[in-house]
Amino acid sequence: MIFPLRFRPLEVKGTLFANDAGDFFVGHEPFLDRYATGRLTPSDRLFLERYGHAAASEDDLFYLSFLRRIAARHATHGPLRYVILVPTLRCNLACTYCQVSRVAENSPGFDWEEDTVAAVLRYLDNLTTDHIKVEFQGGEPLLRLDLLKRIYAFCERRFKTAEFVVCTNLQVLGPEERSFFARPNVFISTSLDGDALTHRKNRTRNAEMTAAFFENLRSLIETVGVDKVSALPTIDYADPPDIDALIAAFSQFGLRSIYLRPVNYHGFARKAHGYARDSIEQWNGYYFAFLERLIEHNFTEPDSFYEEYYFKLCLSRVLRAGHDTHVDLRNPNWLAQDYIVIDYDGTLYPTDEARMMTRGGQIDLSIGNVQSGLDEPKVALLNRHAFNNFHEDCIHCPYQPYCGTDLVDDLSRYGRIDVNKLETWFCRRHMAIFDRIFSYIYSDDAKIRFSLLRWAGLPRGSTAMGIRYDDTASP
Amino acid sequence: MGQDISKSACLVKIHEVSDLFVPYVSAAITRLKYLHKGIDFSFDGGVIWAAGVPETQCASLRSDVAHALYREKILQDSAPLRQAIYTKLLGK
Repeated sequence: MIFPLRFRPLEVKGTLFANDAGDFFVGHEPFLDRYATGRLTPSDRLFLERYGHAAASEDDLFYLSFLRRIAARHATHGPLRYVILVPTLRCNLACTYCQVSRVAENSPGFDWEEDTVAAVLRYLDNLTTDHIKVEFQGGEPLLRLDLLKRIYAFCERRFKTAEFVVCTNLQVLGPEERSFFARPNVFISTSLDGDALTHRKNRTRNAEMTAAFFENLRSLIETVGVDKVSALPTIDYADPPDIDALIAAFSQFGLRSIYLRPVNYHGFARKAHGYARDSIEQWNGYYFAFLERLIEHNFTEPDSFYEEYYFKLCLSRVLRAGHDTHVDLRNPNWLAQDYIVIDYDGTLYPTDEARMMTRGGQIDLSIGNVQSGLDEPKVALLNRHAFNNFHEDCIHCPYQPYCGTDLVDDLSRYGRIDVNKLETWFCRRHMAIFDRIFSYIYSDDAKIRFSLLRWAGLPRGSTAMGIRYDDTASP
Repeated sequence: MGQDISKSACLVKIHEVSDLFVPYVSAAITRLKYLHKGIDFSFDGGVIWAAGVPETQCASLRSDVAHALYREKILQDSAPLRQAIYTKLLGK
């Protein structure tokens, strides 16, 4: 038996074939014709058997191996072990693309009340895991450093291992904040939108605060080390930063991993950046121009080698199973199973974007409250759409094993999830990325191969990353 | 209907369907209509016809139609095997 193959013509090099386990090869149209019409030749069958696309029976090793590879392609979830905590919605910035509908720094009533803190601690205490990761979001979480310290102290006592990420704008960095960040299991995630002018335009709105941020980021990295700090640019791609200037902005801090994020269609950005709903071509244009610049840079200046985080993630998902920790790209994308968001008022959400949508009034995606517990029927309803395997569009797509689902994004942009998948932002973004990955995998360009091998974690000099089936000799 | 519509300037003979693929034509056309809004596909006289196709798109549309037939046939032919695989995976 031949395991089902999906196919997609590539722009060059032939037609890509992939099975449900993500095993792939590039062949030609005559092979496709023979496969579809049931006229495979002995050499076709030999090739398919050799590369794991066929088995003799349901109990032979090839069949069982195929089942195992399919299983490995699916994200599994253990106990809930990742919590996003929002101790305050207040913020000392008002970024143009703010996704969370933050409130002004002095607004009352937008911090955890004492009974909410107690409920959060009880919630954490009742988790079945011994290993916890806590992400502090906001607002600006450093406005309530006292609450961060209480959570930290509790988790250190309660769990065998605990890791913390503070998502902060780094506008205020005093001795107490520095001391907190110096703890070995506390990591920092901040935003760096490019050079000072770009950062100022998008975020701080004035030179003084911009200078303070750049100085705080510099001194923090000097103190705690670059490995504890990640900085992410949000790209206003209607007016994007110069690519070289963006790379230089990261270079000055020794940051080598850049995660380009488009302005999202959430929160204030729905008004301030309304173009973000449908302008995927514009985003893809900037994204791939950036990628090409990185490839050029890496080849000419290999001592300062860069990666684009999301492209590397997608590449990893193509080449290997098990890269399922990025919750925006996995299949199945179970909601409220292994991670959850607890808002400033104790409301539970399946994702941070669901929190934004609810607060923005588009749809109520809350799934309970930390005091009263989880709304299990609502979670079950959302999780009916966790899989992409049998979606009427994805079932034909060779990229299905590498891709994921994001019903919250579909709801945000289109107000529904039953739209033509191929026309959605999510699908068009990932189709373009996977198309690009396969064009790179089958490229002979030395510059492309230089970056691709390192992004894939393969040694220099590795030969073919992708199998070709040259069936031109077949009858 | 087939010969009449072929005389119309906006109707294009897209694909002659071999007997092997006839059972999959209906599903393929349903999907093609969904993927190519504004183009009206029909099947008549063993041929898939399309109305409303810009001349410049005829070549790529012929390829799309052939691939739609391939995909529907592969999907339907492999459905029992796929069902068996996922049933075994789920331990049922």
